[in-house]
Amino acid sequence: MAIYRALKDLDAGKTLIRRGQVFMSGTLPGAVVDRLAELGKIAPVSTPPLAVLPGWKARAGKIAPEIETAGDFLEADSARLAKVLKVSPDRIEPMKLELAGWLSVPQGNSKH
Amino acid sequence: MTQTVTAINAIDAAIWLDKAGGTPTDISGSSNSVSIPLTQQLGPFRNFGSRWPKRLEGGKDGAFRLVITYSTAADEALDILRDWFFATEPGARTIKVYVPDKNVGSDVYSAEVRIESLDIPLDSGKAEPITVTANLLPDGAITHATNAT
Repeated sequence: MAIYRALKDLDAGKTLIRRGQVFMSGTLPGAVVDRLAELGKIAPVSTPPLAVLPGWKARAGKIAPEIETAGDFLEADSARLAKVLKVSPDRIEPMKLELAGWLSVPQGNSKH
Repeated sequence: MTQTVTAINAIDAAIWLDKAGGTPTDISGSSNSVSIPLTQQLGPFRNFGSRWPKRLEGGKDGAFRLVITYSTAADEALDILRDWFFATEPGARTIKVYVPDKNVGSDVYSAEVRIESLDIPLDSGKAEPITVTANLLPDGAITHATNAT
């Protein structure tokens, strides 16, 4: 699975993926991801090391070297992360959302 | 000057409108045209010392103006719009217009809309199919996105 950034607002049926937002490739069917990438509507994201993100240094130390980057964390199995970090599985999803927030580009309010 | 090579026409545009149960339904096959006028309020003002006005930006608005063919089949454009209009509480429904077609990567204009009017002109002197017009107004924002379905 890969991580992509929406370069345009994407209408995914019942949900709208906003421009600048990052999402896992599994969010959309493979053929759709390939076509959108070909059209330049989405782009793969190179994610930073977890340790450089504010508030993530300690966590990064616990899960390295298996998980180095924000992308590795987002793609990792939540139950396994909970076990390694010794936290409740409920806390992993908010962590993933926080990471996705760091990777997303805020929308300008004058563009749309 | 560079000439565009990506011009498109509307022949394969697709219009999808919710049926009463909320199921999106393709009504393109019984529709002739859709117009989406988009507007923004502007508040002009003039100050001393300039001949030209300045303008502040206000709210945005729009509409979906449909021209459809009067047909008798269930779940075609007229059937859906007429049932919607005559419902006791019509409510808002989702409309999506795909340009140039419904393939991945196409433009999608969508909104939750309410039906404002349905005009059924009947003329005994015409042989052409009856064309009905409907005006749908957004209940919230009209969005523009890239089709990813």
